Amino acid sequence: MFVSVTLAYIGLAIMVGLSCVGSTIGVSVSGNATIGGLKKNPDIFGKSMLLTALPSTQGLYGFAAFFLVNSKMGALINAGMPIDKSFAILAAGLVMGFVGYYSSTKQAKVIANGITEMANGNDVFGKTMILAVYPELYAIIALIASVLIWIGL
Amino acid sequence: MIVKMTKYAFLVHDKEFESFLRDIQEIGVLDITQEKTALSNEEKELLELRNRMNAVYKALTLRKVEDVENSLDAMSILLRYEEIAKENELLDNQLRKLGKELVELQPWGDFDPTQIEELASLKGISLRYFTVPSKKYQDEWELQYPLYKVNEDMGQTYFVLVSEGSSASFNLSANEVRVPQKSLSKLKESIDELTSRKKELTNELDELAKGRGALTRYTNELSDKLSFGSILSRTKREVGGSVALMFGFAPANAVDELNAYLSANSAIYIAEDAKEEDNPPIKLKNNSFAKLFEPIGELYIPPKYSELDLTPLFAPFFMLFFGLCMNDIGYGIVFVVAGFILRAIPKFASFKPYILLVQWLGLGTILMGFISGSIFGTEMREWEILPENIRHLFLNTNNMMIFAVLIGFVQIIFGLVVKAINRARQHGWVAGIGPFGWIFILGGLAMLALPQTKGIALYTVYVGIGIILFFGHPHGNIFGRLGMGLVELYEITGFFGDLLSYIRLFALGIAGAILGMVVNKIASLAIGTLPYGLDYVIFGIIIVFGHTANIALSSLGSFVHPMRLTFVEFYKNSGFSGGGKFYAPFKKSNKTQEN
Repeated sequence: MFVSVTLAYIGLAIMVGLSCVGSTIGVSVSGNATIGGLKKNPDIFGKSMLLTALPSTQGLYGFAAFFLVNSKMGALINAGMPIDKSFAILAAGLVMGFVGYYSSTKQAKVIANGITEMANGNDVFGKTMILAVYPELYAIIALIASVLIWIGL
Repeated sequence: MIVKMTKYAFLVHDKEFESFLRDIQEIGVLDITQEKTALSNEEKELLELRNRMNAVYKALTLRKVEDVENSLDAMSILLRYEEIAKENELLDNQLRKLGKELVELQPWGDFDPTQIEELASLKGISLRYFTVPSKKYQDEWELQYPLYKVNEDMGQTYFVLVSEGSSASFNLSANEVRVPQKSLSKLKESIDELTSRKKELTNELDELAKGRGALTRYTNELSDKLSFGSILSRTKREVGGSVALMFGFAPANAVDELNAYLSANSAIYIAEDAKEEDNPPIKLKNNSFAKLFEPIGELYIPPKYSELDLTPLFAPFFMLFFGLCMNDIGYGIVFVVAGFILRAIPKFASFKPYILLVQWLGLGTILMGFISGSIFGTEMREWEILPENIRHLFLNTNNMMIFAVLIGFVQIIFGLVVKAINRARQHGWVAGIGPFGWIFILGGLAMLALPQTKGIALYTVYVGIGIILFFGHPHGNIFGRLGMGLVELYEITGFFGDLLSYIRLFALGIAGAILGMVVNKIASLAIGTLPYGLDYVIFGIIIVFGHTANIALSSLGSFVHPMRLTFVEFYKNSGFSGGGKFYAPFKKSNKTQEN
């Protein structure tokens, strides 16, 4: 039981931890791009602030998945924490954590380029938004996978 | 809907061209076709001046002053503002420097450095200034050396050494600091002087800020001059430069004034209905609901002239998608109520279309919220006060996911119908048959899932494949058609991708709902921790702040993701090609555009 509980909590830690680390990196990268762009064109702040907030969602997805799974942990531990459920939670954690991490950091690069272009005077706000959401889809799919695993727990 | 345009071609005598243009600008409905060429020096200067004006205007609007206008003219405001800005920067630098000196000087107390200088020159007695951390200061130094302790402050001891002549050397482990050049009171005086000068400048800025109206007018004038000069110099001259040949477009429903003017002045012109090849500018005209969604459509690219305007077609979907992503009846109510409050404030009158848009999106959120029954992070499914037969109507997580894909399926089919209409409008009705092939295929595949329709499902798919093979690309010979049709059949994978893409609507909804639930859980932890009902105060604060933050974050995602579904999935399936440019009439800047 000790091993299975440990595995499950490692899964939870990766799930919420790695996706939040990704979002932290993501919003910092795009935030830095905003600050750099403001020197050239102070008018872009409003729009680029909205763009900067986009990579923060992956961390929230990680947290949402964590919250769902964590709410079942008590009952599972009381039931002796079957090892197959632990593996399921670990799998959900790995999926959500890694996909969230990469989705957020890569999305930030798209946004940073968009903000740089906006600072140069090209009005690519709408287009950057559309393109930046492309990498986010995969974090959403990871969240759905985690939710499906949670339903099966 | 895309407004029909009339194409104009004018022949104007070069001498009369300028006054002709002035009148056209006054009428303000004509979008004049211009070639893009490099800016002339004069234009560059005007542009720079306008940028400076804009910068000053922005800086001055930040100042809160009463709304009375003064009689200053824009140019003098601009020049004076730039002077003040320069002086202010200088003052700030000086103040910073003096502030540093003040910190250095303060511990030594107020004395007159000139007297000390006199001491040196008349008696040959000089002073050297030292600081040392108080811990290291030794009292016996006072016996060994001619030193005098001046002050002890913030763990530092300040002392001076008195020496006759400058050659005397001491072996003390202390920092020697610069000889103060000014007395403390003099320093404070100059700081006060600079501060009061700054205050004067601030007052002057407030006075300048009252001339904002003049700045706006002048900036408008500059813009007019720029666009006027640009057209004047870039319009082609024919017949050895004596005649100007100009092309332009005007909305067909707004040409009366222009036509009256042209016939009154017996101008030489041709007017005809604009055609696709002319690449006319795009002006959208929609009903009051779809109009609100035009700014969203403008974030992408304008349609081509002959295409359908998709704004009214995506608007209802967008509203429902936003609602699915927010997925909370309570949040929807917040949007609607906040909209009514904001609309009552006169200051926000110019934002009314946006506020209305938010309210419609809020309505979508309320409608879609009822499907899962989520309200402020609680599930109505678990409310015991509701009768059982109502409670089980709300969709659970699994069914919500299927619902999100289903609504996507509806939009894809709808998009294909739009594509058929679009093609039929542009290339004749035969071209419009192809998209129905896909509708049959997708519909047939969907019918496989239901036991009642399973029997005929495959036949429907076959019909669809047949339509695509023979009518997918109706132009060309039969082998060409079959070949192109086969290639098009590969696009089936794209439809599965699109369909799965709509699943995001469900995921965003569930993520928002969970975060709302977390807020409630954290808030409920506060109950019972403090006496006198204080715990309920904390509960309320957490609820308000938590849900506000959740609304802010969720609404960003709920706006962006439906936008992607609109511009990528829906626009693609409805065969949108785009590439027009928006209608921008040549007119006076202060004249507002009429519809």
